Amino acid sequence: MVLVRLLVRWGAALLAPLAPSLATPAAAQLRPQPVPAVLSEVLLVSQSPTESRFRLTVTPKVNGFATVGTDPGRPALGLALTSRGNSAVAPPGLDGLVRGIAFDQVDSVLVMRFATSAPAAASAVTISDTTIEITVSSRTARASRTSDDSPPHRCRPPPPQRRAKTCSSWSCSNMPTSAKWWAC
Amino acid sequence: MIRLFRRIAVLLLLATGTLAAAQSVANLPDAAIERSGNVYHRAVCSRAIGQGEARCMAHVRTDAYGRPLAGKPDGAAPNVTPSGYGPTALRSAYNVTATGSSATVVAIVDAYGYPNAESDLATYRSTMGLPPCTSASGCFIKLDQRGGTAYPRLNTGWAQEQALDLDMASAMCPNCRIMLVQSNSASYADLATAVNLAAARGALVISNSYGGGESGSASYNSAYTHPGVAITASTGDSGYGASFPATSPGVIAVGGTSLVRAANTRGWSESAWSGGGSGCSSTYAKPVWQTDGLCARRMEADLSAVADPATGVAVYGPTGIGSKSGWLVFGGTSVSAPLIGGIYGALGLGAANGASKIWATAATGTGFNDVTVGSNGACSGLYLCTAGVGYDGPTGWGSPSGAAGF
Repeated sequence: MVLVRLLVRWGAALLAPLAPSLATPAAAQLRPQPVPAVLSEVLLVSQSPTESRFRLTVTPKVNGFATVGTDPGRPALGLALTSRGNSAVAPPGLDGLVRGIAFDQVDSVLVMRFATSAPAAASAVTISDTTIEITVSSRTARASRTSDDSPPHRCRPPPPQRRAKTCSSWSCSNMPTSAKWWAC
Repeated sequence: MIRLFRRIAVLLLLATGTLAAAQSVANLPDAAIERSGNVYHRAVCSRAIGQGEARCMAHVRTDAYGRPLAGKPDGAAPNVTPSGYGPTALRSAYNVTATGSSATVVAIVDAYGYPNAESDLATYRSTMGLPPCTSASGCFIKLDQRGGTAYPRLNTGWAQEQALDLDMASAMCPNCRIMLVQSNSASYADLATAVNLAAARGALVISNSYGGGESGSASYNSAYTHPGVAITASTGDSGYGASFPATSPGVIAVGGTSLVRAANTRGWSESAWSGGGSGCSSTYAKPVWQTDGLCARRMEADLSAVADPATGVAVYGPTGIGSKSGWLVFGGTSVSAPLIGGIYGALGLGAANGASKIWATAATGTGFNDVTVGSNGACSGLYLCTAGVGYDGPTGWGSPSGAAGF
């Protein structure tokens, strides 16, 4: 019996250092470390006086993106942790809504700014891990559609993840005297 | 160059006979006088730090020569109200009505010693109409990083930081108990040891008003995640650029604003403080609850509060003239981190209501005052350093508006 108790105590002592890591899902709450990406291709999908569409290829994978800026004369898209490859150039023959593309490296963010023939806004969607499709639409074209595009800048987080309060030291605060509180 | 100016200033002040003023300038960590609007201020901790070290993020308001401006002449006019925002104004600005309870421990972690911590805190609290918080009553305790009383040597800048932290935590949570943990030095190793001690001793909230480069910080990152503990960290006072531990995924990264009274429903308005920090980590992975698109790793800040020295807060602490204490006005994200920590304490909330909760609730449009004006650097107008509608780096999701956001 004594031997069993000793074994239980030893086991508890050995597992004790692991307890915080088991109780804290911190590691599980993190995304994988990203790999710096390169924009390798900008393909013109379609264009008209009111809308231009592009398909962007990023290798090895897209790290995140967002439409940026509020200047309707110069809609823009930012690509996180991405640099521009030599093969990523503005496609030739841009004579629709978009007339030109400028690339701007801001720290680790690659910003693509679209010169347009009319006030416009950009929106983007993920096609695959390596591909993004971006649509630049004139204000009038957007107004005529029923769209739920979010304004730039607004991020919508996922539902909250609740964790149990597992800090055993909290129980110390139930002790009757201040000396005991601090001593715990 | 700065040192040369400092020496010239000291010589001039000595020549003109203002010995006290000369002493105060001579005690500056570096006499880099900065300006925010028409207000002069300087960092109380030296900006010259090495790898693996942190500096505090407090700025004291000064005159044009870098001499701290007395918020209230010590003894000369005892009934004069201290300059800078006090508890009533701050609680009004952030719509905080909770006052906390003695079951909650708010820990302040800083480097070096501060012998007058308890007596200075007593002066602040009595002047501001807050209940006493003493070691005799069990409300206040000061520990070294091992949990004992072998306190480290005095460092005036860090002592001023500690005074600021103690006063802000008191302002926002007048009924909380306060644990001051002093690390032996400003190294990440010692500060992390102090944070771990605070967590082990039952702190529900741990406030960290310091930061430094991310290089060499990874070994100490685990100290900034403790189950059930809300850990706040200043985002910095050098404008746009990432700072550890604010980029640690486990902390609540607190940015800085300029806070002024306004004729609106709230009674206040805020803009991003140009000196406040923000940035995208180059080291730490992105938490799943963080949803901004242009930072592939941990983005700071999560939220913000007043930090501009031009709209600073009243503090009773070391003046830098001998061992004298007095009223001073402080800014820096060293104001906002303990202020937010104090709110967590007042609400009795720990890590379950940490940064993930802020991100989850902020998009509902309640709980925070969205700060949409100002920037803290140059980033081509991206949200990384430019305030705007919704999330942005300098101010996070905005400043607290009551308890709803937490």
